[in-house]
Amino acid sequence: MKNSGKFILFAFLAIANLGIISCKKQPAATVVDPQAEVIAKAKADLRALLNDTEKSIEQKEKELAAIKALNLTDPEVLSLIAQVEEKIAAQKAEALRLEEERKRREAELARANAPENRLRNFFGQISNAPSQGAADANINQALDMFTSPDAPVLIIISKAGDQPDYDRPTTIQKYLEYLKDQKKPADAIENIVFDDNGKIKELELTKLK
Amino acid sequence: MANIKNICLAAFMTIFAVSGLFAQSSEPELAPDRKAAIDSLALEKVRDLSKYISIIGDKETPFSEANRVIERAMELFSEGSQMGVSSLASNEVKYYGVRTYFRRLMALNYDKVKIDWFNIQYISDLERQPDGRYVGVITIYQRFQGITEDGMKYQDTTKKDITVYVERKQTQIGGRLIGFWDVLLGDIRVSETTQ
Repeated sequence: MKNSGKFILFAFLAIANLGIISCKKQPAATVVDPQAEVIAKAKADLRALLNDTEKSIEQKEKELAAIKALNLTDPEVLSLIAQVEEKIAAQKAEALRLEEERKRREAELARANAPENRLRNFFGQISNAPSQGAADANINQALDMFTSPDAPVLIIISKAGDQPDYDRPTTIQKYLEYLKDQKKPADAIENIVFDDNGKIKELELTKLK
Repeated sequence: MANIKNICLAAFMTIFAVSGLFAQSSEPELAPDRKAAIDSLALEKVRDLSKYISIIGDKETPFSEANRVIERAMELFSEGSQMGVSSLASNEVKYYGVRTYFRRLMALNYDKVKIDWFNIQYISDLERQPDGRYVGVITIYQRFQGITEDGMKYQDTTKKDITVYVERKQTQIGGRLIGFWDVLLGDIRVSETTQ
């Protein structure tokens, strides 16, 4: 009985000692704080977003939203978030400016290519042609826009209500030659009638503008 | 006999006056802005003729171009119109059909020719006639300058009166009836020639 008591005491001490040893094996410096890890990752991601030059604005916004959803209160994280937001806003403004510039250029190009403007340009080039040859070249190009050199040209000289008074009708060939001979500004374009192939089959000008 | 003549004259005048009234009543008087538009259109046609004459007379104008411009200028005139031509060397004013005048102008025996028209204005406003046409007279001054190959220079200034006819017409274009004012120039008469 005495021996069995000693054995129990010995076993107890051995187990207790084992517990002390196992506690000593865990060093204090290696303890992981999950919140700190999250903060560190957020900072790294935010810095990456600040320096990134390849991701799309949408991608950056998505990643930023994910970080903001963590609701971190770390001051440095908050500062980095503000910086990233500022950078995205600047990129958005620049993208918007570039888009507007592109649209403006496209609209300008469309305007320049619009038949009315092409025709107006030809009128100006013919009236102000430095030589007969230059005027003739422009006349030939302008005639390409019409169904025929005999396409009618009507010139409004006045209006009685909605009813216009016209000069004697002429043809586009004669009108273009008139501009070449008289070297004066063309009458304003009032209306253009196209055929199914997009060629001008009738032109109405006005002296009232 | 005198009575018969008087009766015939009275009858003729009555018929003329009545037909005139009918002609006038078919078209109402033009509103001032429409009248101003045709006044301005007629002046423009005269200015156009001025430019055509200077192109035709210019010795630097190629032959084919001058001929083309003659055709354009001819379209400004009513059938049978004549152009008066004067010279400081003679009191006589010669009249040519406009096409003949243009051909002669093109063939003038000068090395250089310069023709300018200036002071283009109405001396008689466009007035409505019994037949519905408007008739007026526009006066212009023409400065002519010709230089021969040996440097001899001839120049004169001529005052010319141009009769202008404006008529309302209609034509079909693209299936539509278009009403237009047809401005036609008539005879061009020389009223004075100075150096």
